[in-house]
Amino acid sequence: MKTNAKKIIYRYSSLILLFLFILIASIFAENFFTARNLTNVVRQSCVLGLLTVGMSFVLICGHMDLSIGSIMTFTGLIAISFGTRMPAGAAIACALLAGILCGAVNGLIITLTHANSGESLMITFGTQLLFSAVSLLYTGGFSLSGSESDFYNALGTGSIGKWLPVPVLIYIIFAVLLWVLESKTSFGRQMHMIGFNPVCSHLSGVRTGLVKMVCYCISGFCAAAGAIILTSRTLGATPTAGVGYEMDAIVAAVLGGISLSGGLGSIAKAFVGVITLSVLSNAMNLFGFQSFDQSIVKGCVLIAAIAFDVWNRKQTV
Amino acid sequence: MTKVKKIVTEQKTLVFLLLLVILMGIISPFFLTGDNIVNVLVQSSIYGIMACGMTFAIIGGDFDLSVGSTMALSGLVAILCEPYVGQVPAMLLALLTAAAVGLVNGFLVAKCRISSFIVTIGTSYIFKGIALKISNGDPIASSNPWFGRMGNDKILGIPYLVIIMVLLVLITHYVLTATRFGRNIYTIGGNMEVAHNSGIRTGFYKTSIFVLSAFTAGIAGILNASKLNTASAVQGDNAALSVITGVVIGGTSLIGGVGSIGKSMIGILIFSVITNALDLMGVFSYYQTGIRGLMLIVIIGMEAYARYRES
Repeated sequence: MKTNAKKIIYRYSSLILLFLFILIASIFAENFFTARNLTNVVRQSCVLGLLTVGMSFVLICGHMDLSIGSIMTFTGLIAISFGTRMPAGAAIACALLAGILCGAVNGLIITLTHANSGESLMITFGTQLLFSAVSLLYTGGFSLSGSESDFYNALGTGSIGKWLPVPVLIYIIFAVLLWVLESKTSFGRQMHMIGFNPVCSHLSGVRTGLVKMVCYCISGFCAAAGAIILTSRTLGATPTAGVGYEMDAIVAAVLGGISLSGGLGSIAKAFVGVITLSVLSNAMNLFGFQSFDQSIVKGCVLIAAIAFDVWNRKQTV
Repeated sequence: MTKVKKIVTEQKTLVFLLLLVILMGIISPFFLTGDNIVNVLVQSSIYGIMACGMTFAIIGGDFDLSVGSTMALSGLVAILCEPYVGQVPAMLLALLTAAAVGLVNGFLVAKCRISSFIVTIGTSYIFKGIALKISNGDPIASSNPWFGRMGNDKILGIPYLVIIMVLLVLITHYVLTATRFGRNIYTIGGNMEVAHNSGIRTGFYKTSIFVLSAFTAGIAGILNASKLNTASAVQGDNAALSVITGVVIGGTSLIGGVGSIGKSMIGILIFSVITNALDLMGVFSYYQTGIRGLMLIVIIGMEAYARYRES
């Protein structure tokens, strides 16, 4: 019985953390548990959520993608600037394609050079510099003002009925589709295998290069989807819009319980991690914390969560 | 001929650096002047100093992503405490703060056994937050005229910054190659379990790796603040990845157990030489970012492929 309880705590530790935060926030901030605020929490988590879901694919393979922030910047600029010359739908398609292409560049380099986990970190840092240089050159360092298409602007700001924002709907649709891909298909299983043991999975006939490549493409695609929502919500694209998002996505994934060494994790966990981070920053805003203090609390929570996870694993195994 | 080939394959990065220097010497008449060489060395000194500590960390098989925050924090402490305690004690306090940061990192990695990547992302949030808090987000200028001279003055035409960097590199080289401490760090990076089973106190060494890394970041923070006569919480924002990039490009493997401070310095110098060369040629800074990215991809990609071919 006791070991059972322990197992449950271990299994659902990130969910427990989330509920703890919601509990604390609801007790101490009177306007936290209102429909309006909760919608806000979810709405704010969309962009980071899409990025984290994409990043999870790469993390599960045992790799890392530091370039998603600058892919997001680049594709946001594409979506906005193409939007002035063509219908919004076509501009969005171009931006998503650009995201996939950026991801394919990452995937191709990493597959061709047979880079290991650490090397993929450095290579995607290189592509981060590359993509952000391309973004800066593309606009000459200037920002672009938002789209004039109502359809485009509705993607980030609109809502269906009273309580279902469009970005949340998009996020949920993508998350569910990718969750199915990750947990219900043979592709997803191969991905986990590669993260667990790349040599073994190669020897047992998994086309490791192809799978990694697709994972990086998904990560780039999600970054582009995040960029469209972000540029639609903020009514403009800047060549530095995505700076720092890659670290936030890693933090969210880790909070949700995805292991950085690969093989362990799921899209559901990424989802929980993003909501946890979002609830945390919303609660701190309601408490009136300054951004300095928020940064300190975020660091402490991250370390405490991981320390607990490591301690927990030692207890159960 | 085979000897030449062997040297070229073993010292790829050194050969690359030399080729770069020769090429630039031909392209630009200003490149090989004394002033410009000193300039390159000054540009590489802050990251060079941090690379000393980072080399310990990476050889030991760990990352330290918090060096940027540590750097900003110690620069601020050195300037903010000066009116109360005087300049030298303020600098000592700054170094002590940096060492304390390292101790926190080391404790979390060695005792709680959390991956150093996550620990140092977490602590970099925390210490950047503290740096922003104590400075209220503003850049703070030093009121002591003596402080700014340290980062800008020269002795016999050589800036103090460069002298300090060279001294630290020599000390690091000595510690890594000629002491038991250094050898044990290689062992730990090579194989933690073997190191532990052969009686090396891994906890102590893991902790000291992070203390050393943070300590050199502290020195770099003070000198950077002194060079600019100003400290600000955002000064170290790109430092961690830039330093790691330099160290790794030099040929210190991220897996651990391999590398030397000489190699790390070659990596750091390659970056400074390229930045300097592109500046001399008048290349727009946006292109420079892109070229740095491309270079990183090519060098790391080549190394990854070479490792794959070997195995």
